[in-house]
Amino acid sequence: MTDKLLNANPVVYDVGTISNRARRPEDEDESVADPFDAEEIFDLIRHINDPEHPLTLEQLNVTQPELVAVDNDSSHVLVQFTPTIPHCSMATLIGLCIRVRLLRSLPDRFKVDIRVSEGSHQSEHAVNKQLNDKERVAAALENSHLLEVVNQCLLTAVEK
Amino acid sequence: MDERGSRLELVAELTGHTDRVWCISWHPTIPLFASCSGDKSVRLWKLDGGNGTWSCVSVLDDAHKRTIRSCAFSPDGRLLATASFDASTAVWERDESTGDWECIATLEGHENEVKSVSWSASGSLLSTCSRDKSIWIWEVVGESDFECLSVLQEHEQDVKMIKWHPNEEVLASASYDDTIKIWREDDDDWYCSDTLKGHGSTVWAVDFDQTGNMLASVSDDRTLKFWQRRAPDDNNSALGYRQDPKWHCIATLPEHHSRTIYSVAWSKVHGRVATTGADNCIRIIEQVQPTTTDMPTFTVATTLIEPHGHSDINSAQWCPLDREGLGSLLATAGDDGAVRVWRYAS
Repeated sequence: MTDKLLNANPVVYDVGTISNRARRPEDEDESVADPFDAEEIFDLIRHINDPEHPLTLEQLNVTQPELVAVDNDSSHVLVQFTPTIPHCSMATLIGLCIRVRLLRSLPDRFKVDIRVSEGSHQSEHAVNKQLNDKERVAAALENSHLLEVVNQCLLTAVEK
Repeated sequence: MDERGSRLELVAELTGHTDRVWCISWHPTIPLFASCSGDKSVRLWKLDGGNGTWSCVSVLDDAHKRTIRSCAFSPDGRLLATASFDASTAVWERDESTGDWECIATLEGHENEVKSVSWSASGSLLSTCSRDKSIWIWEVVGESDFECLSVLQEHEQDVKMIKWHPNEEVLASASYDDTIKIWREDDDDWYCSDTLKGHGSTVWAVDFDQTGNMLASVSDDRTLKFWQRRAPDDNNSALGYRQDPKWHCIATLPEHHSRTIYSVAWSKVHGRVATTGADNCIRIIEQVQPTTTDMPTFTVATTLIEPHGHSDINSAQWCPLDREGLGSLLATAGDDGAVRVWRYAS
C-alpha cells in the first residue's frame, strides 16, 4: 500500500450500528421459505473495511443498500459500489473484497456481478471487466499477499 | 427452439478433483482424456472397453505450484502439456514400462499466468499464451528439448486461449482485448495475418472445424460467432502485398447463453459444435447446409440445463475417435469439481 493516501480526508457518513431490518412475524416461522433479499446482501458487505482507512465501506458511502439488487428466483446478485474518488486505484481491490465476502457467504447457486456504479470511476469499463473475469479473480486469490490484504479488509465484516 | 429430439445422455460422473475443473483434453488415439484443475493436479480418465466404465488411471500432481489452467495431448498422444498460473508449462511423457507419466520438461519465460497450451497438427510446434499479453511459439527440438522460436506481442490484453489449425501451421488466439488474431509463418518470421473484430467483450475460446476453413468463437458478450476463411483479394496480390486469406464473420448467435460463454468445441468427427458457460448449460449446435446459397447456417439442436448443478461449465470437448460411436462422446468440466461424460444421441 502507498504511504500517501489517495483520498486523505474522505467524507464519513453516519450509519446505524445494527441492521435496520424490522423483525416480522414470518421471520420466526421456520416453515416459511426465507428468500435472500438486498438488505441481507448489504448486511454481508456493509462492514468490510476500506483498504486505506480504518472505516467501513458503509461509513464511506462506498456501499449503499440501493446499489444492491437480488433476484432470488434466478439466483442472481448485482452489487454496485461507488469509489470515494473517480481515479481510485483501490477500486478493483474493494470489488474483490466484496466478491470474496459473497463467495464465502452465499450458497453456490448465486451468480454474482460486481460493478462500480455508473459514472463513478474514470476506468469504469476496465474495472468492471476485471472484477467479473473469473479467471483473473481465481488467479488473484492464489496471490498470498493479495489474499492477506483481502482477509484484513474482511475481518471487520466477519466479526459483526 | 428447435430441439429436434436429440439429447445428451449421462455416461459417467467422475469425481476426484478437489477444486474447479478448468479444461479437458482427449487423447488422439485411445478412449482416454485429461482434466486439469484449481487443485493443481491433472487426472487421466480411461474407458475400460470390457465393462464400459470410466475410471481415473493417473493423477499428475507434482509439477505445478498453482492452478493448472489448460492441458493438451500431442497429436501422437505420446506427450501431454500442462499450462499453469505458476507461469510455467510442463511437458509429460508416459513411461511405457511403468505406465506412469513423468514431467520431462518445464517451459519458462512467461511473466505470469499461462492460460492455454496447444500443439500444432504435426506435433513439431507448441504454443502457450499468458496474462502477460504474449504468445510463445516453441519448437520441439529433441527428446525433451523445446526452443522458443518466437514471442508474439500484438494483443493489447491477456491472451485467453490459443488453438492450432487442424492441418496447417496457422495459429488462432483469443484475447481479453475482444479480438481474435490469426498467426502465420513467413521465412521463420511469425506475424499476425488477420485480426477478427466483432465480439463486444473478452473472447474466451475458439475452435476450428475439421477442414480448418471455419472457426467458431465464444465470448463474455454471450454470443457464438462463426468465421469463414476466404482467398485473398486479387488486387492486393497484384500490388505485391502478402496474400493472406482473410476471415469473415458469417453467422452470429446472439444471447446464445445467458451469461459468459467459456468453451467451444467443434467435432472433427461429425461437425457438431458444443458450447458451455456461466449459465450452467451445454448447448449443441448443428450446421444446416443450404442448397441455394453457399452460406451455411447454424441451429441449436439441444440444450442441457444444469448438467453440473448450479456450477459454471468451463470446458466441453468432443472425443476425436471416429470408431464404435466414440465420436458422440462429450466430456465436460465444471466449477463443482466434477467431470462428466455424455453421449450425444440425435
